[in-house]
Amino acid sequence: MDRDGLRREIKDLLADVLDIDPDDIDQDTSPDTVEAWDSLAHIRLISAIEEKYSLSLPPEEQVEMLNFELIEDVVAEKLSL
Amino acid sequence: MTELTDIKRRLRREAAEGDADGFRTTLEAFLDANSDAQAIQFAANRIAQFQERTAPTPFRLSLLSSFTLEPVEPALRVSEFRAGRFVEPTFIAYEQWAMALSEPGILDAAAPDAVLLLLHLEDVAPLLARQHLAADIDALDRETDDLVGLILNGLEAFRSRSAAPLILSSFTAAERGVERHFDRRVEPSRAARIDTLNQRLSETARSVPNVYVFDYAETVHDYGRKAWFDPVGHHHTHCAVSPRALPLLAGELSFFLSALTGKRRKVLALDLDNTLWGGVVGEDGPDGVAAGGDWPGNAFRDFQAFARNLRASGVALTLLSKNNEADVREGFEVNNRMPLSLDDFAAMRIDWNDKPGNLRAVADEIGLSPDTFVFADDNPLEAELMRDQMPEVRTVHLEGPASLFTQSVLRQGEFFCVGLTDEDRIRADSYSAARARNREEARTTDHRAFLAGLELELEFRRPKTSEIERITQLFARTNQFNLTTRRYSAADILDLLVKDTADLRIAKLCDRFGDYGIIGVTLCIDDATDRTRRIDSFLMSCRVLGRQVEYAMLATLENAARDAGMQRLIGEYVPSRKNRMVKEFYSEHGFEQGGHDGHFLRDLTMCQPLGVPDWISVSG
Repeated sequence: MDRDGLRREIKDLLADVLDIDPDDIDQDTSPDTVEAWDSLAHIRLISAIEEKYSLSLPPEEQVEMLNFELIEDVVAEKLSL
Repeated sequence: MTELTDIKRRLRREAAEGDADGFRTTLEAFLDANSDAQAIQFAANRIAQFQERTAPTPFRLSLLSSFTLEPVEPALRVSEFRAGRFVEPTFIAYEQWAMALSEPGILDAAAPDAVLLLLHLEDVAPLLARQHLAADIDALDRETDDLVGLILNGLEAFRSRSAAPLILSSFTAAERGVERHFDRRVEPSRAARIDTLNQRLSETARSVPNVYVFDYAETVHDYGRKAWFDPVGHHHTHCAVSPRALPLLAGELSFFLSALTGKRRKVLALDLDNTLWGGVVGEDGPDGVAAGGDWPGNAFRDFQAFARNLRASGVALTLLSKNNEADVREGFEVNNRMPLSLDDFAAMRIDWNDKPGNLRAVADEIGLSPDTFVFADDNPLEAELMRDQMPEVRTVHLEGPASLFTQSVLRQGEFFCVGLTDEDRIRADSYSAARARNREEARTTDHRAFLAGLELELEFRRPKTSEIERITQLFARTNQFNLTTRRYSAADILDLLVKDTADLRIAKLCDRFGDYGIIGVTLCIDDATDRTRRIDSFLMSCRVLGRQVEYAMLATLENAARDAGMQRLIGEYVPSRKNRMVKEFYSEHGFEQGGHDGHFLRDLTMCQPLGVPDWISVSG
């Protein structure tokens, strides 16, 4: 998978978990721009990402992944993309 | 990928349109193919959307926990939807579980249909969980005593405000420590103390009405402690259950809630060859079939053992076998050390007729409707035929080795329930008593003499607390002899018992062949202003038809109404798909068709008291 494919997948994942339209998601989408993205949604989001990419994200990283771009960067790094 | 996008788009549309059948079918297909956290959350969002659109009756579940349980919500919405319910969960923040129970407020505002209390040992008994060797014994004792006290006080306080079912959960530890290899032989033993704690909670569940136990510890063991608990999550987000275990927790909770709220099937109809024993008795001979010894006979033996235990829990067993009857009898005689004997079956058909017809005949014989049956057969054609001809029967096709049969029947059979009453325990034996009675009846030519010879004794009185569970069962399950088919829950019953305008009675019957247990319930509601008593519910188990017990009950109610100074007694009949047999009940017993549809009136000032049949002795 390339970086574009990964971006599309993560957009889909965010859209499914937060129940928003994937087309409304850009690099800056964050808890500040999406009302449903509260701390509980963040827990669900992280666990969906961990399961999908077979990752184990340490708490220090989980709390940093607070917008779309940061999430994509962390996952891309872990998958060496 | 595009296929997935399509199905998701379709689910959005069907949820938005409120297309119930389409939505359910599409969602089931989606979930069968996609089961990761992302798919579950998407599905949960669609269910919430559908729920908002169609506003079905929700099942309001309040979840009290000692940790962050909220992440279970998507999986719970999905498992509840698959169980046929629309859950409306209310999560009470984890510091507040004790207060929510003991003090009026947040819990009551949710008006829950059920309350779950799920506590982790690490949160509520940290000394026992992590420092049981270092702690003073006194401190350790105090910690558990305080915890039990907190739970018990909470239960009693909540019970004084609400009759809703309350579900406690058993405790287990999330991790094992240094005691790992000596715990059971050194004092203080952590495991022994957890056992005692669970024991004390179970006793609570027996003493406070409508309290149940969700065996969380066993559920964790089912899947494995290490996979279940997330030690980092415990400290970081206070969610100690690992994300992957959440769907398992949700699924098990939905199973439990189905057992709590649903109907239990009453009969297991079993095939014989290659179901209860290995081999075909007609071909292999009585020595050639096996339910014991080594593989594969031992697997059949254990399936029989399961069936025997199921019988003891109140499920009647019946046998449907395509064989010559003599071969089958010989098979049971030769293999007489098997767990089951022919006497364990309430009814049987051993012939070459088709099984749907035979199941119907067996249902008639024991007086239960086919929709209370589960049918289990290893033969796919027999299973298919039954599914096709009698969809109301729950058919379980027993696939693969016999070692797997037990769990197949349990998973699909709707045999789970959250308690056992005295009636459940004696039910299977009562069919043998019924056979003895039937033999006696066939011998006696004079029906009245037969009835007089039964020595029928009817107890007709207000229920005891321990009998509420059985009353709930009767309200939930009685379809045929049920005048109004009003389904009162345990919570409703607790409310009715404290109302002085309501008179709820149970009918308990026995004769010289045995005890029938509680076989009927009546509910009368008074309208004191015009001296009218209305029989809101009148239901009776069909097992006792033909003895005029119902007439003895009606006469007793009528006399009680007179004693209470009533002038009118109203009997109600609400037709259902199954209760035609009682359509004429009131008109045949001296009631006049009333003004309202389905109302029958007896003017107590104008007629003589009804008499109790002289072969029944009634006590209050």
